[in-house]
Amino acid sequence: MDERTIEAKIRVGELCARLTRSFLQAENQELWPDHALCDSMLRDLHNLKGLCMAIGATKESDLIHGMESLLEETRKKSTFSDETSEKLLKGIDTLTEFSESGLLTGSSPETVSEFQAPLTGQDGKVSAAAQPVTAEHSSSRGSALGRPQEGSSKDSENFLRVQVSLLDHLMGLVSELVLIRNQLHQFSATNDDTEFLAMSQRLDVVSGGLQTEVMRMRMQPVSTVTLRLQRLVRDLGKELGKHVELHLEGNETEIDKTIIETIREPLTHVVRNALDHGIEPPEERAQSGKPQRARLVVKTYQEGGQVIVEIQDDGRGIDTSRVAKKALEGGLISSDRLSRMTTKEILSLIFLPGFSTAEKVTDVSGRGMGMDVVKSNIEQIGGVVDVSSTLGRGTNITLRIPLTLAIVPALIVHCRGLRYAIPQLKIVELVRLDSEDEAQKIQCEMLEGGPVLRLRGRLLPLLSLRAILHPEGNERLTSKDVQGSIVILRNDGHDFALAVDEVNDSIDIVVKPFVSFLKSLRIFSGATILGDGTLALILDLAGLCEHCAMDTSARTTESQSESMLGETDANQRQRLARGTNPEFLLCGIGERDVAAIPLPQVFRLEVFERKDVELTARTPVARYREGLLPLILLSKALHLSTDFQDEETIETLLSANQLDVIVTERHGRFFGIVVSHIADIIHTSSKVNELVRPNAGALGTLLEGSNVYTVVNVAAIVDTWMRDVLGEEPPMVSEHTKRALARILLVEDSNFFRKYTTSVLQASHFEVLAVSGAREALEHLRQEPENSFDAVLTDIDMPGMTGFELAKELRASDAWYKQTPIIALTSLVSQRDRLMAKAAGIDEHIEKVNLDKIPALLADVLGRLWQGIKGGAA
Amino acid sequence: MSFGNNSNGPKRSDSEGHRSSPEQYSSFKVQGKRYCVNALSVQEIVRAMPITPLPLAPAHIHGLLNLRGQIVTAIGVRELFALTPEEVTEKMNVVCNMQGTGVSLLVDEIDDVVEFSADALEAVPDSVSPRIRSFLAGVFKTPGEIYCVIDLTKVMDFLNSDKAQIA
Repeated sequence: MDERTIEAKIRVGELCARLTRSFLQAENQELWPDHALCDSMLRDLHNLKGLCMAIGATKESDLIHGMESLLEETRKKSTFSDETSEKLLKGIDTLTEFSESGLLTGSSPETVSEFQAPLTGQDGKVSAAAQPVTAEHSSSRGSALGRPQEGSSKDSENFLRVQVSLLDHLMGLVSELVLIRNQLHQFSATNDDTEFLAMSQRLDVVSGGLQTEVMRMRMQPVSTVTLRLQRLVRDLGKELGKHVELHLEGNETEIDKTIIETIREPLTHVVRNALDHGIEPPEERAQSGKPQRARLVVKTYQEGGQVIVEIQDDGRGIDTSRVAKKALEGGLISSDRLSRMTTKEILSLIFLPGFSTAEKVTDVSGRGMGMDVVKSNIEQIGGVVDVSSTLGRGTNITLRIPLTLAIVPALIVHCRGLRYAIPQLKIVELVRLDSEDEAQKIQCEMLEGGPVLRLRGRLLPLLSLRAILHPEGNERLTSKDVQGSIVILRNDGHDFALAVDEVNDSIDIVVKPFVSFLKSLRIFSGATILGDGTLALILDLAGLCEHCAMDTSARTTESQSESMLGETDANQRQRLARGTNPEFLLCGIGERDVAAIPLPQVFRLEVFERKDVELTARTPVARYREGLLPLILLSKALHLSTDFQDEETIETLLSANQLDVIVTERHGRFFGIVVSHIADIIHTSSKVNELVRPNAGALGTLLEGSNVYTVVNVAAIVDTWMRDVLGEEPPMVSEHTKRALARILLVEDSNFFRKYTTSVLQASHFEVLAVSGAREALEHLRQEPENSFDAVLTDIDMPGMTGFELAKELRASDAWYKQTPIIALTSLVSQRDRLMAKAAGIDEHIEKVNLDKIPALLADVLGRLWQGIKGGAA
Repeated sequence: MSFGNNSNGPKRSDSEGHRSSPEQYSSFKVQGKRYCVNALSVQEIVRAMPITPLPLAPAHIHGLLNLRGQIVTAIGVRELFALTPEEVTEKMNVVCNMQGTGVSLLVDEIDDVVEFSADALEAVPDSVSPRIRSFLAGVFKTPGEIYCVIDLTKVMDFLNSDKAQIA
C-alpha cells in the first residue's frame, strides 16, 4: 500500500467514527427530519465515497452510494427508524473494518447487496421515487461540498501525521536528557562558576519545557476511547433489552497515547459489566421506582498527576452478601478471612481472578473474567481501581491513571547506603521520629508484636525498610530500632508507615522496568538511573505489603479497636458516627456459644483472678478502680427471666481461677459482664436481625459468614439487673449521652422550634449547630471537617429544599456525610411519609409532639443506629 | 580490551550442527575452567563496574549495572554453577543479549575469541557436575583444552524458572 492509500484509509476511519456518532444522534432525535444533521451526514458519506473511489475501492464506494440513498429516503419519513440506523451502522462496520485492514478493497458483497435491495429489489415505485430525490439533492449536495473540502485542506495544513514510534523514540531521548539535566544539576551544586550556573539554569528551563511539550505531543483526548462506548452501549443495550442513556463528561481530558491504549480494554469491560450486571431490565427498574431509562455516566477529569475515569451507573448496585457468598463458594477466600473484612474489602473481591456473580453466563460478561483483567491492566500502568456501591442505587467504579508512564516524580530515600525511589503519588506525608517538640512528638509503640506508629490519634502499621530488605540479623523489629525519617504511604486506600534511614530529594525519574526474571521480586517495580549515574530501585508498595504479609486493612481495623478499648479517643466518636459498619466483640458464653457485644458498649476488657472477686451482700463483685465492680454472668443474664444470682451463678463466679470480664458503663457506673472467653473483634456490614432473638437479653442475631452470633443487649441486661438485684429503677436517659458524645446538625426553618429544640438538646449535653434551611445545612456539611457531625436532625417541610431532598442529596454524595445518620423531626408520621422518608435515605423519625422528650428519644435512636440496627420509629 | 561484537544479529541455536563454516566464540575462565558463549550473542565485554545490589534477590543475581543508560542484570556464573565461592576481587562482565534483554555474566578472566565449527560440538563429559551440565550445549575440544559451551537459552530458562527464585 502506498502512503496515499494509507492516509486515505486513516481518513476513512475518522469519517466512519464521525458518522457513527451522527447516526446515533439521529436515532435519538425527537424531531425528524433534521435537515442540518442529514446534510452533514450526507456530506461525510460523500467524502467517504470520494476517498474510496480515489483509492480504487469500488465495492466500498458502491456500498456508500447505497447508504446515501437510504439516508436520503429518511428525509421523507417522520422518524429515523431503528431499522435504518441498524443498516447504516452495519455499513459503517464494514467500512471501518476495511479502513483497519491491510487490503486495498475488502468489502463483503452481502453488505453491498443489502443496500441495493431497497433500491432495486422492490417494485418500480421506490426506485422511481428514489431517482428524483437524488437528482434534486445533487444541487444541495454540491453546495454543501464546498465547506468540508475547505475545512479538510485547512486541517492538512495545520496537522501533521507522525508515527507513534517516532514519538516514542523522541520521548526516550527526552527522558535521557532529563537524566543528564539531573546530573548537571547535582554537579552545579558543587560549582561556583556563575556562567556555568546560568547555563545550567537555562538548560533546566529548556529541558523542562521540552519535556512538557513532548509529553503534550503524545497526549490524546480521552474521547478517542470514550466515544466508542456510545456504540457499545447502544448495541449492548439493544441486545440485553435495556434502555441506557450514556453521558460522557470531560471528553477533552488528555492522556498519554500509550495509556489511552491500555485503558481501552478495561473501560470497555467496566461498561459491559455495568450494562450486563449493574443495570436492571426496564420492568425491574419500574418496580423499584426508577426511571426506565438507566443512566450511565463516564466522567473523566484530571486531578493532581492523575487522570480519573469514573463510571457510574444507577443500577441495582453490588450486593456484598452475594459477593461474599460467591467468593466463599468459589473457594476464593476463607470464611475466617471473610468475617474480618469490611464492606469495602468485600466489594473489592470482585477483582479476584475467577470471580463472577452473574447467575448465568452471557456473551457479554459473566465468564469470571473481566474485573480482574481490569484491575491488572490498570495496575500495570501504575493506576488504581476503586469500587463503591450502594445496594439498589448503583455502582461507581473509579480508575485512577497516571498522566504519563515515562517520567514519574519520586522521592529518593536511603537505606544502608543504597537509594530507593518511592513514587510520589503513593506518599501521604513525611514525619520525623526524633522531633524536639514534645507536642508534635510522634510515638512508636508495640501492638500485637509489631510496631505501630501513633500519629495524630491514628495507629498505623510501621515497617522498617532496613528490616525488610536486610532480614538477616534482625529477627524482630522493636520500637527502638525505628528512628529517623518515616514516610507515610498509602496503598490500596490503606495507610502505613515506612521507616527509612534518610530522606533525599524528590526528583523526576525515568522508570526502567525489570527483565522478566526479576519480576518475581515484587517489592521493586523497576530501577532508575540517578543524576550521578548510580541506580536506584523503585519500591512497589503493593509488593512491599504483600512481602511483609501485612494485611494493612486488618491491622488498621484491629488497632482501631484497640484504641477503642482504651480510654476515649477522638477516633471513637468518629467511628461511632459512621455507624453503618459496626464492630462487635465476640465472646464465648457457656461451652460452645458465641455472643457478640456491640463494641461501643465495651469500656474495657479485664481479667480478674480469684483473689480479686468477693461476695458483698450476696452480690459477686471485683475490686476495680478504687471501687467495686458488680459482676454479671452473661450466660445467665442473657435469659433475663432467671434469678441473676442463684447459688450456681455465685459458685461459678467465685470458684473460677480467672474471669474474663467486659467492663461496660451505664448510668455513670461500671458493670462487669463475665464471659467464658474473649474470642475476637469483627467489623461487619451485616445488619442485626432483630426478628430472631434467642433470648430476652439479646438484641437479635448477627449472621456473619457462616456463623450466627447472639447480639447482646447490654443495656437491657444491666437495667434488668439493677431492677432485680438493686431494686432501682434505671434512669430514662442513658448516661453516655450526657457526655456530649454526639454533635448534632439541626435543620429547622421555624424560629421557635429551632431555638427550643436547641436548648432542650443542649440541656441534655448534646452539642448542637442549628441552621434554618437545608441549603445552609449542606454548606456546613461541606465546609466542616470529616465526621464533625454525628447525626443530622431535620424538619421535613421547609421552604426551598425539603428534608427529603436534603436526605437524598446527602445520600447521593460521595462525601463523609453519605453515611451520617439522618433523623427526621416530623409533626405527623403517616405510613406514606415513612416510605418516602426511607426512600430518601432517612434513618429514623422523631415526632415533634413532646419536645422535652426529644433528647431521650434521640439518644435512644442514635444508640440503635450506632449499633447498626435500623428500622422502627422511636 | 574490548573486542565486543555489537551486532545484535539473529540468534542461532547451538544445535545447528550441519553448518560446517566456523563460528566465533568468546571464551572466559571461571575458577580455572574455560567456558565460552557464541560471540554473536555477546554485546560487549567490560571491566568490573559498580553493581547496585538487589536485596532479597537470589544469590546468583549480584545486582544491576548501568551500562551507559542501559540497565543490565549481573549474574554470577560462580553462584549459577553452584561452585564454592572464592575471594575474587575483580570480575569481568561478559554482557550478553539474551532474548532481547541485557544480562552480564560475571567471570574471573577473559580469554581469547576462538573459532569452532558447530559440527565439532561434542557431548558434555561425565566429569562435569549435573548442575553445570544443565547450562551447557556441549564442549569443543582442542589438543590442550576443553571449552564448555554455555547455552544462553538454558541460562535464561533457568533464571525465569521457579527454581531460580529460591534465594
